[in-house]
Amino acid sequence: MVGKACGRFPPDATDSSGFTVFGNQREGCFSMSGSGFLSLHGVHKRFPLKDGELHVLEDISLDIRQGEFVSIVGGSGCGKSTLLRLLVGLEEASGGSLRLDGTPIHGTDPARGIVFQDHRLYPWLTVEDNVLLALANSPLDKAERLARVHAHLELVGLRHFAKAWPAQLSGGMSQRVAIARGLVNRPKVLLLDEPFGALDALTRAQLQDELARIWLTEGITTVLVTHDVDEAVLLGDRVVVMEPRPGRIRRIIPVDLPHPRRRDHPRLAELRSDILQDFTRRQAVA
Amino acid sequence: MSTLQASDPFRTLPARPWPTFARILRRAGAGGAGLLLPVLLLVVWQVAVERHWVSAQILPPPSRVLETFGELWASGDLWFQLSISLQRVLVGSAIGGALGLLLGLAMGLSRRVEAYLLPLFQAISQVPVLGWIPLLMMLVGIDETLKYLVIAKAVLVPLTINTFSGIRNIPPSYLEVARVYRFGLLLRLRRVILPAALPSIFTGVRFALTKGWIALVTVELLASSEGIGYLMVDGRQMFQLDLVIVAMLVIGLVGLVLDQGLALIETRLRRWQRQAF
Amino acid sequence: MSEATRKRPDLRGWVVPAALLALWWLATAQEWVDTRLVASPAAVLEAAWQAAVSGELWRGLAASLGRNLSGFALGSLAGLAFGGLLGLSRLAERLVGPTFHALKQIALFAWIPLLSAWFGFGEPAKVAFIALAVFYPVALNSFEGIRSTRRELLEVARVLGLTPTQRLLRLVLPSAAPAIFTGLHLGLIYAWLATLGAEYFFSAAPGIGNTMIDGREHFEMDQVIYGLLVVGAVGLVLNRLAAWIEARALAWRDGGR
Repeated sequence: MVGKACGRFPPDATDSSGFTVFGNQREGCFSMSGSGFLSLHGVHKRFPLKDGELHVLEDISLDIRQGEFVSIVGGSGCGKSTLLRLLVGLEEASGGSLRLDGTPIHGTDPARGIVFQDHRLYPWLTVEDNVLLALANSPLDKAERLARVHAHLELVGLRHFAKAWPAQLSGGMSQRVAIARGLVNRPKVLLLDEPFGALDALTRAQLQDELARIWLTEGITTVLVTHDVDEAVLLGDRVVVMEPRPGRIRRIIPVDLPHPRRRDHPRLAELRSDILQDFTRRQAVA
Repeated sequence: MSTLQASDPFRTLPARPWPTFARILRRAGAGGAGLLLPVLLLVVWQVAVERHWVSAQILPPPSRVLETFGELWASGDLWFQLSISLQRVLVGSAIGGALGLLLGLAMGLSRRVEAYLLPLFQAISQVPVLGWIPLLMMLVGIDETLKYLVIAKAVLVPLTINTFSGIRNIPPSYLEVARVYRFGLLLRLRRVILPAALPSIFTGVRFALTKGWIALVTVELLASSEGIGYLMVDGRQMFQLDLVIVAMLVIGLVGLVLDQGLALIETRLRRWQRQAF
Repeated sequence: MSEATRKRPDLRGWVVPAALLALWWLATAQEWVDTRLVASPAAVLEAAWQAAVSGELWRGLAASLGRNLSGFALGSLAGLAFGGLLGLSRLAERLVGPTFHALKQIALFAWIPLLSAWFGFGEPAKVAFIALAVFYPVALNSFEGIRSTRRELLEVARVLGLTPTQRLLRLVLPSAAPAIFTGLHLGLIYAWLATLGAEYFFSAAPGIGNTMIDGREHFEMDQVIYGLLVVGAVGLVLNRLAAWIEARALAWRDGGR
């Protein structure tokens, strides 16, 4: 079933990054035997208000291929974070279907990892224990867990900080730990909710490069929510542009450049101004 | 962002402000759940005594307590004892409050005064009021002076601390503004220091009065022939626990009124502050 | 405590106490006061020394600390359980919370006559009173601490699929720990206060508070003052001890420094 789902959705011809997805899967990476194909169909989300309802998301349909990196951009109130919360299972959709490898998404699951904007590390646990916490209910034995935690701390470049307290880390370092925690379960999908929004510009750029590198090595399906158009086009295979009230997809823009990308590539600048123009035009109309 | 799944056991854990009396009432009125337990307890209590499961001596029934309260109120005895206690608190608090305010101001404004007095102050406040009572009894006897002093000490400590820390926690930027405009001491006090430290001082006042009331009860229990605390001692000695419980209720009620009344004034003050800026 | 006083040892703090001590000494040495009533500093030292040598001081201290600690243990366990229940269960809070908050308004010492009627005047009454003194701050702070668990961190627990037990042990309790420690710390202070009170109000038995009451009755001020000093010193030690334990247990707050 899962295999078929992948077969039905071969990499988009225009998407030159497809090779990395299949070429770089590490052994054992997808021990869950799934692949990480996300399918959203007619998703609605409404919140009850005192008088009536608030339509946060309306009719969102989107397929995200295995190993694809999709960026979602939009202004505040377009429901992009809510969409991510539906995907991770912290909220339930009011209508429509969300599926991962054909299985409906209900509640949270280790197959879907998330990194929040605020790192949300537990301050009373060391870096190592924070990442270990994600494996609290895994079938692995203690040694295997530790080995895996250390491999992931290595991946985010924090091998030497395993015993540090979160209070001793900078914002960027904390966010790296959060990424390690999001990945240590070997999820099929990594969800990122404005993960670098609270960081300074230099740290942000550095972590963007790191994320691109990690994604290339892990080959994991990744959904990044951001309000930073530069970030969206730099990292995404496709950029989903959303608009508010009610939140819906305005358009989807493929970024036809191979990874890893150079920040100063003229094509990125083109795409960025295209998207930004879209925003300003809409605002002018509104 | 705010709704979570309903099945979660620790679902609703927002940080909640202190339950005020009004909120307790509102909640009790709204759900009735909060009233359920006390009412149930009272009923069981009453029934237990009436059926002689427990002796009325050990646990006077609520009806008796209510009756005693009515009698004490009608005879004016309750009000008489209470007025004596309140007057003691008033005098003691005035003395301790004035001293505490002065001491806190002096230590807050001058690093030198702080260096000389703070260690001694801390050492003295370390020993609870109760520890001072035997010594004070020997020095001043067990008359009104003792009560005033004990209450004053209880009031002095929190007020000093809050005034002192209120001044010390004024953001340096405020004081820098005052320096830029070369305000004199009086102007600085009136325009910067007192307004900025006022919320903390007022919290100190509220806390101090509660402490003063508790100290009064303590000292009246220990050495007094009048007052609400004495009423309890009297009731206990004659094994009239209904009297004891009435006194307990009155003590709780007065404490509550003091605290909530001052809390109300405090929020008023803060609202005025917000509007002013 | 300001920065300045903490950084360098500041001797100015000793000036006023030294002056007061000198005044006291002078007043008794020059007989400005009746020395039969007001003890001299030397007499206080002498009384303390005698009590220490004869072992009376240690017996009293041991008795006081014994009931202090048993009351503290009892009250803090009950407070933790009660506060935990109220914190974890909305239903329990709705049912019991208002009663708890109402009873809290009654001044601690106002319970003494009733407690004495129920438990008598002996050790059980004293320990019960100390336990009651500890119960309130511990229960209150445990409740508040558990209720202030951050929603964001709870979401992480959900995303990581932690079981309710894991949530309790890894999230709720550690996150409530600072408040719980504050409660225990306050409880320790109240317990010492209540120990004194218990010895004043209930029947006479060895104890440091009893030493003071005794001293007053026999008009031996030296005994009262050394008792006062011991009470202060024990309070200080308990306070420091609590702060030290708290700092060790909550090392994560400031990054383990």
